[in-house]
Amino acid sequence: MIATLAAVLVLAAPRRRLGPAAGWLLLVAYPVVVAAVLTR
Amino acid sequence: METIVKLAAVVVGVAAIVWGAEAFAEHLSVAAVRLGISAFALAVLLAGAEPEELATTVTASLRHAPGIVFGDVIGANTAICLVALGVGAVLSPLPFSPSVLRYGLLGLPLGATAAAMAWQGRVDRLEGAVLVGLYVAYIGVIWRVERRPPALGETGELAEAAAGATGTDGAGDGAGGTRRRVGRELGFVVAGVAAMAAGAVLVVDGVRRLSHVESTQTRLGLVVVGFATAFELVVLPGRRPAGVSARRSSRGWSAPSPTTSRCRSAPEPSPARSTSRAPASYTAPGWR
Repeated sequence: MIATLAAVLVLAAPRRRLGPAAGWLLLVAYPVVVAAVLTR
Repeated sequence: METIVKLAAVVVGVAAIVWGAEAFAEHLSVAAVRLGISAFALAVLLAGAEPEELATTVTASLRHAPGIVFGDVIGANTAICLVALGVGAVLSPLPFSPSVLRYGLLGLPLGATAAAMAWQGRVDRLEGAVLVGLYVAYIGVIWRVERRPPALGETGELAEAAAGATGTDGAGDGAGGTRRRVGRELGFVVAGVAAMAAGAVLVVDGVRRLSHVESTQTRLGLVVVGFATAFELVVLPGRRPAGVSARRSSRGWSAPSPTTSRCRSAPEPSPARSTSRAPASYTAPGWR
C-alpha cells in the first residue's frame, strides 16, 4: 500500500506528471501487488 | 444460483455506497457553508475522508468482520494508486504540482504509521484514535502552512459552495429561497448517508454470507469491495480531465490522505479565487 504510493511519487517527480508509460506501468503492477498481498 | 444472488447483493450495495458518497460530498459543502459550519470541520470531512470506505469499514467493524475492513482499505488504496491513476495517465498525462508531491511525501510516513499499526492484524481503539488525530493534524498543518484549505479530495467543493452561497444570496432570492435550497441540500446529504449505510450493510452481509472464513473475507474485501469502491474514480462520468475520476477530477490530481495514503487530490485554488470568492462567514484563520 505504501509502496504503491511511493512508486507513484517516484514516477511523477522527475517531470511533475504521470505520463502514459507510467500509467501502463501502474496498471501492470496492480495484479502483481494484489497477488503479493493475497499470498502474504 | 445462491452465490450469484449474494454477489448481486454486494454489487447493489457498492452501487448504493458510491451514489450515497457522491450525494453526500456534493451537497454537504453547500448546505454546511450556508449554515455557517466551521470551514475547518468541513475541510476535515471533505479533504481526505472517503465516505465509501468509511461506511464500509465502520459497518464491517460493528459486525465484527475485521477481514473486510482491512481488505477494503488496502484494496481501495491499491486500486486508486495503480488502477485509477494508471488509467488516467494512459488516457492523458496527469500533472503533479509541487503541492501534490508535497502532500504525497507528507502522507507517506502517516500511511506507514497506519500500516505498522495494522501489521499484526489488529488496530485497537487507542490506535484508531491516534490515526484519526494524525489525519486531522495533517489537514491542519497543511492549512496552516499554505494558509488555505488543502487542495485535497473534495475541498474544491468548499470554494464552489462559498461562491454559490454568495452568488445566490446576492441574487436576492430571499430568505425563503435560501431556506428551501438548504433544505434540499440537507435532504440529499441525509439521503446520501442513508444510501451509504444501507449499501454498507448489503456489502458486509453479502461478503459474510459468501464466506465465514476471515481470510476469505479479507480477500473478497481486497479484490471485490476495495476495487469496486475505488473504481468509481475511473468510471463515473463528470468533471474529470482524462476521464480519470468523477468528482475529483476537475481539480487535478494529487496526494494521499494521511491515514489511507490515497493518491488523489484536488487542484490548488488560485489565491485570486480564494480571495475574491470566499465570503466572510467562510474565511478561516489564515485563509486569504
